[in-house]
Amino acid sequence: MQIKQKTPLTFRHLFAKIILFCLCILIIDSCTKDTIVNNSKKAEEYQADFLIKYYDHICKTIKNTAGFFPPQAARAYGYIGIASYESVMHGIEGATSLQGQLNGFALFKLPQPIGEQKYNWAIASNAATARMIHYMFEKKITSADSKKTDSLETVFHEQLSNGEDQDVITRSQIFGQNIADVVYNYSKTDGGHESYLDPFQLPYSVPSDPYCWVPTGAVTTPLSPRWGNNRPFLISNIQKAQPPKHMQFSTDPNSEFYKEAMEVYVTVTNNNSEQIEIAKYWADDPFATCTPAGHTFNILTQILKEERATLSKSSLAFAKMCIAENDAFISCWKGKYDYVLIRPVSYIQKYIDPTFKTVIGTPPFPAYTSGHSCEMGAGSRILSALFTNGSGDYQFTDYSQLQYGFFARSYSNFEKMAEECANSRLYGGIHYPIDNSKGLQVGRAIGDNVNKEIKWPSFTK
Amino acid sequence: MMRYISLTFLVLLNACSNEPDIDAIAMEFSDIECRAITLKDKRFDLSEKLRAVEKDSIIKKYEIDSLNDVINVVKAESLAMADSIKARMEFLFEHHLRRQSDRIVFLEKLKEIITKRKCHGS
Repeated sequence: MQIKQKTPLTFRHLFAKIILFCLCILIIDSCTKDTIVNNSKKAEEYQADFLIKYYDHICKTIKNTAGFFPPQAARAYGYIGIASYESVMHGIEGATSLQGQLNGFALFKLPQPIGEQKYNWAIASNAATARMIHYMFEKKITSADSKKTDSLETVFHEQLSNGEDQDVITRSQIFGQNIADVVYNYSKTDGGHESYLDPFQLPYSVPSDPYCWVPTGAVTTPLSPRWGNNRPFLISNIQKAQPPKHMQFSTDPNSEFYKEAMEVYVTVTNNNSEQIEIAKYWADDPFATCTPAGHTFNILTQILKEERATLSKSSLAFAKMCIAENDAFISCWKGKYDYVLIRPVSYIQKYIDPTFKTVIGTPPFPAYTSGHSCEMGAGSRILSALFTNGSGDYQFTDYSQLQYGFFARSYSNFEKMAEECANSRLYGGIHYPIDNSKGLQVGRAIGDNVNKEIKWPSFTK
Repeated sequence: MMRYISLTFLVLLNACSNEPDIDAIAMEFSDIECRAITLKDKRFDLSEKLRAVEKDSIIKKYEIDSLNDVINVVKAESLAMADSIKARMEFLFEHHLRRQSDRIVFLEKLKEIITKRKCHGS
């Protein structure tokens, strides 16, 4: 009878134990990667420089393209942001598609990454963003801006493809383009499709009651009167974020309405130089800027640059802001045409002082509520959620207006910044105080809805 | 050990010698910013004139047309100027004013210089 040798047995046993241990580690590791597409680098491993440069380009394109007033600009940003986010979402841990979360989006089937195939999310984002810019400005984009979009896409594509396999490059690019196609089809059904071709939505008859808006300049019909009927990204942004009815119209000097108008009159008459500067700074001045929404995006891009935010964080930030800004303008415009309230300049010149002059031009649409206040109220909530613990405390200097001949302005809190923006409309003489306070309230509610009602990744580097 | 200390010293020395000359940068930048301020004032003035003329739009249609011609010129100039300033600012921030603290000092100096130069107005 042969006696079994002990040594080889122990070695085999030990080897089997090591293999078993490695298998366990592999299984545990694979279980922790839930939503991320395997084999692909995470979105947080890419820089966002290219995406940020696209937002600078969008601002320029808005300035150069006819028909892009504030609501139209906010809408363009809206859908571009969604396409960019969807194109990288599978590379963000814990991220959920917006498809089942945004109003009406579920009807449009987004492409999904193929099985275990590898993707480069930056290439996908580049392709999606460039294509969406073409789509959103399609019929009026200048030749120069169209070429610039193409050249940016080509340059970024080459940079981002460096060292990547050809099949990954092609797959990622097609994936991004397909995302843009679906988001564009979704955009066509919201009521604002190609609205830049007819931003005044004629014909429209303004009611002739004494409380109603009357022209304040050469433009005799108000801007985008049916914008409030557009489909918002979140229904709650219309249902739960509408201002209450403003105070009763009256010409009685003891009435609340008259007092509101008097406050405008007294403020404008006694404005100091700082208040005039603030009025002009936030006016996003005549003829040369990319609208108030563009100013908010300029602030966001500046902060993302300073924070050296990754593709993951930047895509998330833009998506949130894009949804909030689009809905802020829909909600605000709904209120404007539900109430069609007369502008302070018209009221004051008729009932208080015919020689009254505002600091800046009054835009051609009703007063209640202030568009600036709505959009910056929403924007401030998004900024606060992105960069603070919710307090809004954040030290920064907005130098985005330097290019238009303004000194940079410093802030220590996003909410305070929004209040300054809202007050600027009073200093400018173009809004009653209630337009600004209720506008901020509406905007903040919208920002909160976007932060809370959509399932965003809980932590994004 | 001494080699590492010397190297660290050299690196620090080099970093010190690369400190941006913020005064000079702000002075140089103030030229284009001054032109941007003048253009901004022009835009607001034109907007004001347009509002005044629009009140009599039927009688003065030719005035609105000629004013719009001027506005288009100033707008084109303003947009070109905005591009130049943005590009210059990005270059400075990327190459010379990388630190946030330097940018703040630069913006303060710029304001100081512009205020002294009184380049407001049109």
